[in-house]
Amino acid sequence: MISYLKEILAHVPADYAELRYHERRVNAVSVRKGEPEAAQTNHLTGVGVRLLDSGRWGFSSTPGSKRADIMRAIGDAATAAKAMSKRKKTLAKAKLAKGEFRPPVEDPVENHPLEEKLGLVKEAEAKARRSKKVVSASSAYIEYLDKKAIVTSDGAAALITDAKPEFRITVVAKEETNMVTASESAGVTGGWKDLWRYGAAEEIVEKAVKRAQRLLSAEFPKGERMKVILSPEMVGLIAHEAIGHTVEADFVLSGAITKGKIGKRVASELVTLADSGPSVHIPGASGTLLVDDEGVMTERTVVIENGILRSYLHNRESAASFGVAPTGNSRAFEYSDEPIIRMRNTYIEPGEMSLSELLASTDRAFLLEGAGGGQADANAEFMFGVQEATLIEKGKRKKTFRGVTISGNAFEVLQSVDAITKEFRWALGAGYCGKFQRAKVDAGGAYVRCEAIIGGRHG
Amino acid sequence: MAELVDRLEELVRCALAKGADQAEAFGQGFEDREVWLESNRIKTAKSHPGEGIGLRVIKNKRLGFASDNNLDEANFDELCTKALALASANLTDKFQIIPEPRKLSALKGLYDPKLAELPLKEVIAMAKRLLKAAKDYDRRVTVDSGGVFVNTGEKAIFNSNGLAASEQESSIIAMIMGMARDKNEVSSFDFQFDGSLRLTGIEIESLAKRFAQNVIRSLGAKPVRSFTGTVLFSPHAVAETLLGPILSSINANNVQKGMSKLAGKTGKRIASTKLTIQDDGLLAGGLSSSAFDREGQPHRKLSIIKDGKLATYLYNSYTANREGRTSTGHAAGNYSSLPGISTTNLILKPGDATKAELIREIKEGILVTRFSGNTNPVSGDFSGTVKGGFYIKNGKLANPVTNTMIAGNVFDAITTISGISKKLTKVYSYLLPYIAIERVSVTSG
Repeated sequence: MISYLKEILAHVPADYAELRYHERRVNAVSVRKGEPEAAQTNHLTGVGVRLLDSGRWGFSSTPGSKRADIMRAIGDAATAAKAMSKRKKTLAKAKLAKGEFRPPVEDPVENHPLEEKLGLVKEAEAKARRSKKVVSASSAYIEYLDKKAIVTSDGAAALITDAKPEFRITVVAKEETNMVTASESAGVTGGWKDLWRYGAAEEIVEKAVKRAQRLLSAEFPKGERMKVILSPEMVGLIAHEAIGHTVEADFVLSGAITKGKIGKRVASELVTLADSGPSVHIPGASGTLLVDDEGVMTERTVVIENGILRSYLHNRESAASFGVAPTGNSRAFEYSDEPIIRMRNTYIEPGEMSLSELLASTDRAFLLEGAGGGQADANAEFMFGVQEATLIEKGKRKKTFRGVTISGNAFEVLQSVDAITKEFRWALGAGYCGKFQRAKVDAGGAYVRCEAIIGGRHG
Repeated sequence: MAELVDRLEELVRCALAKGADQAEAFGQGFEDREVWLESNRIKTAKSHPGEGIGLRVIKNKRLGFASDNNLDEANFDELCTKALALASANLTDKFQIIPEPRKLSALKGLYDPKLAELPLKEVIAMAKRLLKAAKDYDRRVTVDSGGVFVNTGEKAIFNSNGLAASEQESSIIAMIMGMARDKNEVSSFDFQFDGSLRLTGIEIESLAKRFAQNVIRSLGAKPVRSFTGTVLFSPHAVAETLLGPILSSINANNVQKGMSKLAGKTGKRIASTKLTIQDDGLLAGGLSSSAFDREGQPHRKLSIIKDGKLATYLYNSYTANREGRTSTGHAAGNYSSLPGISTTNLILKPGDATKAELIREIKEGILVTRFSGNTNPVSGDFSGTVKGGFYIKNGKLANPVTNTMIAGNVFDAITTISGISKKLTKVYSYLLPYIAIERVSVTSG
């Protein structure tokens, strides 16, 4: 495929051109309340074409990889570019990828038959429903098997193969008219063994069931500003949604709050936050990306180092306009998507303290667990749902609360960090990020104690 | 046009020849033209063709599904083999069904040849007009993102019961999102949308103006006091806050699988008598209008909630078969997914007051232009931040608000509706009014 694409690329008249072949197979099985819901396989192949002509980008794509179709897409991309206004635009020099790339895999998912995956999902769902007060449950297993070939006119030529399996369970518990849900998931870049790194399917189910049962008798909290202990999934959610997006260079250029803050203090000195292509600390983070979709080698990008803002996340174009090296953050979800600046695995570095020490030293705080939905703005103001909040008083776990939200300005929250544990995990492996198109990302970190606004109900 | 159906028929025959008891193929072919705005500029323009085919098979009461983004007949053999392999690995489910053909009405006006012929250059020109109109309204307006998107294409379905149908379709959509900046102040985000099946149906300048007005008006926001009072939801906020749990809970699949609070409630009062919600897949000019659904079943006009009473759930063939009834024509999805369930064009019946009259009735409350937060589709709990909100005092808009949150439960909220506007606004495939709801918890400060 590489030499085939290279040969076609040689005939493209543009300042810069890039061909990206992508073959993807998605296999999914799911069961809801004892019945099969989906057993499906989706296959797609296509080529995305991007070129730069006198500072004007043009993009097009074609399903399949026939020469005539790719040539047609090149023509369309050239036409699109010509319809735009000319601008001065350059691409930063980059460490371009050449050769074959595969993230580490323990026990490839392809070695496990579909029957086994379906059996696992069926048993997980049934186990959940055998539990007290659980009236319904659903469980799913999904795997993405990807193959990409990326060639650029300035020399990238990379063949990338990876697999991203994920597992999820949602539990509905009911008592009279009171109905609550809890969900848990796992997702990695890697193999079958990697997927169960943090616990077997039955342990994941058990966690969701226990949470739903606790939530049934939980109360709604009063809203107030207070100390919170963020679990790795909440740390990951804030690191990605509320900090990460504000340091994506395209958002910085459109006026995000981090503009002009490189070298300045933006967080407590305990905080080091990074976005990494390779999986660090623990292998298999689901956003693992060795080569980005511009053919650039990825790296661990330190965004905040001991509280000081050090770097934005770049593609080749933004890197050129900031006069820095690209960070390998240019990504496209499918062949028909153009590469844009996206995160990979975003996290806060672990500290020295153990979780039990952190809890013991806490006078009064909410321990927040289970990421819910929410939103963040370009000014780092965020508001997220939390599945479960446990009141910690004098180091002891007290009451459980539901319907909790956490909000604030993410940088103010990070300024207030006073403790970080050494326990670290990737926590959002089954997560996707939506920014015009989807991307498989991961996020996580250690347990972090800080201050935020807890939302509840009053009156 | 006939060609796509012919290919689907061939795929269905292939599946039957390989041992499927029943089979259904759904195909699409389309051409997308997209122009994106970013940071007050045109970011990219692109056009690309796309296509795809999805095959659903049932064998020994077991379901299998396979799709490919390539209509090439060379893929058919593998597609059939894959779908059948999935079916043989799957669990038995006696309710699996491929539906019989039913009479479809011929729907006009779904396809505008002017959109099919519209060159990318013209789409770029429209995006420029959108940007200019927003910036011209007030220099403090910042367009963060948005764009103009044109889609034209065809879809077709063929199944082993002899069902065959196809349709050409087109649409144009424009979106704009951003804020106003005044010195050090940044206003709330706003997002506005317009869409049409016809080129002439879209109003670029008035879209830009709605957006610009909203962000400028929300400058100078301040917190108010916490209270329990009336919240007036804008059409966008109705979509973001109230609709999700209702739509999730009238989905027959969720009802049957114990994930709906509205289970067992048909024929019963679930909301204020002011609330009537209809779905009409045949609505003239509706963005989701089509003669048939994802399974080739006829669309129609249907009351979901009538005068506060729950009239029906929404069914596809599978969920209908479980209850021995026929599908309501709400199978949804594209070629790459199994038929799910969704509304088509949803219409919330208008009330008799103007927006100004609704505000005049409110002693103390909040106008919520947009809602940014968390809504649980099953429990109906919502809590989140008010965006572009206004404090209402003694029947008047007092000031824009910031740092203000609302919380409650959707299923409780729809029982305390005190007013509905007579004007409806298009929000995606929904036609929605302003809705005033009593006794909502507002936290501010």
